Amino acid sequence: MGFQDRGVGAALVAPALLLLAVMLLLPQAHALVLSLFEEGRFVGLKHYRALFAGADPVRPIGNTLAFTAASVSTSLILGFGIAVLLDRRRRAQRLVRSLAIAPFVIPPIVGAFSWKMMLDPNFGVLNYFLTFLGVPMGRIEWLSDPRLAMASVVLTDVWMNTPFVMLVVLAGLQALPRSPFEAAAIDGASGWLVLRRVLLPLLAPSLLVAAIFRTVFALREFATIWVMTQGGPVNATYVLSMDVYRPLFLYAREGYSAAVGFVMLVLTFTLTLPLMVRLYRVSIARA
Amino acid sequence: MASIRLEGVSKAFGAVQALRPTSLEVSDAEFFTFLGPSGCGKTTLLRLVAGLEEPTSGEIYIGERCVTRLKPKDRDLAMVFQNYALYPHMTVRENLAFPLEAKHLPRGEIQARIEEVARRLELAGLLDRRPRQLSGGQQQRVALGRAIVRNPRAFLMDEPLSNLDAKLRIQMRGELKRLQKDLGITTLYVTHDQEEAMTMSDRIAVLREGAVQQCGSPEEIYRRPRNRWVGEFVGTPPMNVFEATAERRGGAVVLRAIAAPSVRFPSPIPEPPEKLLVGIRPEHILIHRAPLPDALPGRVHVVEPVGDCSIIAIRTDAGLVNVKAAVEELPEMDEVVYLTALAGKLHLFARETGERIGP
Amino acid sequence: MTVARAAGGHLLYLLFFVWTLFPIVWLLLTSLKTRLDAFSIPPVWLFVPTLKNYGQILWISEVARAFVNSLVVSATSTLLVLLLAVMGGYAYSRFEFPGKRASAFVLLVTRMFPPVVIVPSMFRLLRATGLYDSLGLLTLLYASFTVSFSVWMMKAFFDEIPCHIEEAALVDGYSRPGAFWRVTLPIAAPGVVATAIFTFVLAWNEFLFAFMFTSQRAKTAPVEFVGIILRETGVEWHLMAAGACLLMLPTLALSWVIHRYFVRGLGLGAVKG
Repeated sequence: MGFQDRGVGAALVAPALLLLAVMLLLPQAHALVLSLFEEGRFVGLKHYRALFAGADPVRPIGNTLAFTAASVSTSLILGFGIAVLLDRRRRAQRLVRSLAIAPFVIPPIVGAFSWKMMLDPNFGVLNYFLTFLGVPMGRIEWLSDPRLAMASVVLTDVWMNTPFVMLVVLAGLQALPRSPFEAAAIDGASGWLVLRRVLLPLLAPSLLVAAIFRTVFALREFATIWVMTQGGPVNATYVLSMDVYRPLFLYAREGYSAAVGFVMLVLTFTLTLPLMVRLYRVSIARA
Repeated sequence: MASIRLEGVSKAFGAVQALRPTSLEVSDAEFFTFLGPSGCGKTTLLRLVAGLEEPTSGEIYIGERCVTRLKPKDRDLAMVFQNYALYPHMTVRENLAFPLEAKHLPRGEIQARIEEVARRLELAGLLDRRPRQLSGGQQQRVALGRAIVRNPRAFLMDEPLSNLDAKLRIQMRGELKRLQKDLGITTLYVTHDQEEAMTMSDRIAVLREGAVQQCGSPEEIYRRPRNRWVGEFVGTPPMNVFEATAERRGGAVVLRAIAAPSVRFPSPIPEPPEKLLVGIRPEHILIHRAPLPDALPGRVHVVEPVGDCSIIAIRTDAGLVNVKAAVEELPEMDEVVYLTALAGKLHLFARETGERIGP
Repeated sequence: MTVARAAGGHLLYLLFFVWTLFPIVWLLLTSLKTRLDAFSIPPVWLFVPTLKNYGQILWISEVARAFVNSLVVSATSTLLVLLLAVMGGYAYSRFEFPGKRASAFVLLVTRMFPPVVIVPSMFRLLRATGLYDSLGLLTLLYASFTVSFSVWMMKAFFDEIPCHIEEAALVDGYSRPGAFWRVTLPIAAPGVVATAIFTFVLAWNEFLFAFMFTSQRAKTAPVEFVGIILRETGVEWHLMAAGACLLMLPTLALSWVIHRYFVRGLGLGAVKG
C-alpha cells in the first residue's frame, strides 16, 4: 500500500520500543557494567572466573546444561512421536489441541506443585502406583535423593513442555505437501525409510524451531525447580537462574549475580542466533 | 459524471519507473480501458487516479477540479478491485451502505439506494449474507453494487472480471457495458484481456512498460496498430510479422520476404523504405491446396478448430505462420499448402523502431 | 495385523492422555477432598466432593488480596500491551519507515532475553527509588516482556488482511484512521482477542519477577501460593490443591478459547515459509 508516511509508522512503533529500551535493554546494559564491579571497585572478570572455575562446590552451569539437554531432548522425542502418531487423525487432533495443551498453559508453579505432591515419598500417588505394580523399590525419595532430584525435575519439565513440541510439529506436519509421501508409497518405501528420508528432512525446520524455543526456556528455568526443590538437595538442582537470585538476595553479591545473568544471556544467544536470523529473513526481510 | 484528464502524470517506485509521463483525456460518460500485459503500469495509473498512489510528477483533473493532492476520500470515485475487496465483517447490506455512511446521508435515503441497487443487480435475496457466503459471481455483483450505489463521478475498475470463470466473465462483460451506458458514468477500466477491452470500451489506451503505445477506439487499434508491438499484442492469434525488402519492379513497388524471397506482395504505399517489417493478421491469409505464383509454401504444423473457424499453424521458410480460416475442408497435418495475403490488409512497420509506416 | 496395530495406536493415545492429564485431574480431585482423604494411601477414588477447601484457602493469610493483585496486574499490563501491539503491529504490517528492519530485529531478539538477567540492576534501582513491591512496576515489567511477541502476533494478523480492503474504504470516502477503525480493526478483532488472552495468561502465570520484586503489598497469587507450599509447617494438600486450581482455571479456560491460534501466537507461523 502507499503508506509512505515515514513519521506515522515510526510514531506507531515508538512506544513499544521505548518500553523495551527502558525496561529491558537499559537494565541489561547496566547489568553488564555491574558484573565487572564489586562493592564499587572494578574487578574485571573476577565474577566470571568464579562462576567458571567452580571454586564453589556448586556447579550451576553444569546443572543447567544437564537439565536443558535432558529436558529438551526428551520432550522433542516425545512430542515428535505423538505428533506423528496423531497426524491424519483429525478428531483425535482436535481433542489433543484443546485438552493436551493444558500442561503447557497452566502456571508452571501449579504443574510443579502437582508433581511435587505426586512424587511425595509417603503420600505420593506415584510411589503407590509403583508398589501397586509390584516394582520392588520400596519408598523412593524422588526429590530428596540427590541422585534422583534432577531426574524428577526434568520429568516435570518434560511433562509441561511436550505439548508445545507436539503443537509445533503438528503445525509443521499440516503444512507438508502430501505428494512426497504418496510418491514414496508408490516407490514401495518402508515406513522407517519414509520417516528417515522423507519426513524428518521435511520437518527439520519445525523441529529446529521447537528445539531452539525449548532450549531458550529450559536455560532460564526457575519457577518449576524452585517449587519442587529450591535448588536442593545439596545443590543437585541448583541452576543458573538461582545463581542469579541467591547471591543477590541472600548475600548481596550484586556483581556476581549480574555476571551469571550475562552468561545466561550469552548462552541463550549462541544457541538461538541461527533461528533468529532465519526468523528475521522469513518474516521481515521478505517485505 | 465528469471527464478525467491526466497531464504529464508519472510514477516511480524508487528506481523503477512504473509510469512514464502520460497525458490523456477521458471524456464524460466514456468507457475507457487501459490494456496491457502485467507490469505495464495500467494498475498504477488507476491507483494514481484513485489517489491510492501519489504521482511523481504531473497533475490529475476530474472535471475541472485538480485532484492531484486530494485524498482518495475527497475524490468521489468508486473503485472495483480485482479480488472485490468486500468487507468480510459486514453483510451485503452493510457493504453497500458503507460508502453512503461516509457521506452522512440520511438513513431513509441509504435504504432507498440500497434497494434500488439490489434490484438492479439482483442482490435482493443476498442482502443479509456475508461475503464469504456468496459465490464468486455474487461477490462480483456486490462489489459492483458498492461502486454504483454512491453515484460517483467516475468508476475505476481493476480487472473486475478476471476472477470469474470463462462463461460468467463473458456474460458479465455485456452486463457491465450495458450498466455503464445506462448510468452514463465515466469509467476507467483496467485489463490485460484484449478481448474484454475490444468488446467493452469506447476507447482503449494500450500500455507497455509504463508508456502509452496507442490510444484510440477498439477498431482503430485493431485496424491501424501504431507499432509492431500493438499489432502483435492485440488480436488472437497474434499478427504474423516478417522482415521484408522493398524493390521496384516495372512500375510497381513490391515487398519481398527476406526469409522466403519467392513471396512477393504489392506495396500498399508508393515509397516504402528499402528494409521494413510486414505484418499480416491471421484472418487475412488465404490457404491454397495447389501451388500459386508468389505464394508462400509451407507444411501444416497443427490445426486447432475453434468452432466457427480454425487456427492453423504452418511451418514456412519465413517461420511459423498463424492462419485463421473458415476452411470447409481442413488441411491435414503435414500437408503442403500455399499461402497468400489478402490485398490491402498489410501493415508496414519500420524495421528499426517498429513504428507504423503509411496509413 | 491391522487390528492389532489400530489397538496399539489407541493404547498409545490412552497412555498419552493419562500422562498428560493425570496430574491436572489429580489436582482437581485433591482439591475436592477432605484432609483425611487427601493424604490417604492407597488413594481414595470415590469420595463425597466438597468445595469447602476453596472457601478456606481464600481466607488463609493474604491469598484473596494476592488474587486481586494478580488480576489487576495482568489486566492492566494486558491493556497496555494491547494498545502498543495494535499500534506497532499495524505499523510493521503496513508502513515503511526508517529503522523498520533494525527495530523489528531488536523486537525479535528481545523475546529471547532471559528475564532474570535484568534482576540485579533492576533490584538496585528499585531499592534506590522505593519502587520495590509496587503493582505499577510489576505491570510495566510484565508489559515489557510480553510486548515484543504481542507486536509480532498482531503484525501477523494484520498481514492477513489484504491491503485492498483498506484501500476500498479509502476510496469509499474514509480517512486512513477511519478506515482503520471501521474496517481493519474489526476484521482483526479475533487477533486482538487472541493477543490479549496470550498476554494475560503470560502475566497471570508469571512467577520470577513477582517473586523477586514484591514482598508484601504487591504480592501476586503465584508468589503467595508458592510461599504457602514452601512453608514447612502444616502441609495441607487439600487446601493447596484448591489454591492451585484457582490459579490454573482461568488460564485453562482462556487458552481453551484460543487454542486454535496457539502455534501462531507462539510466533512460529512465520517459520513455516
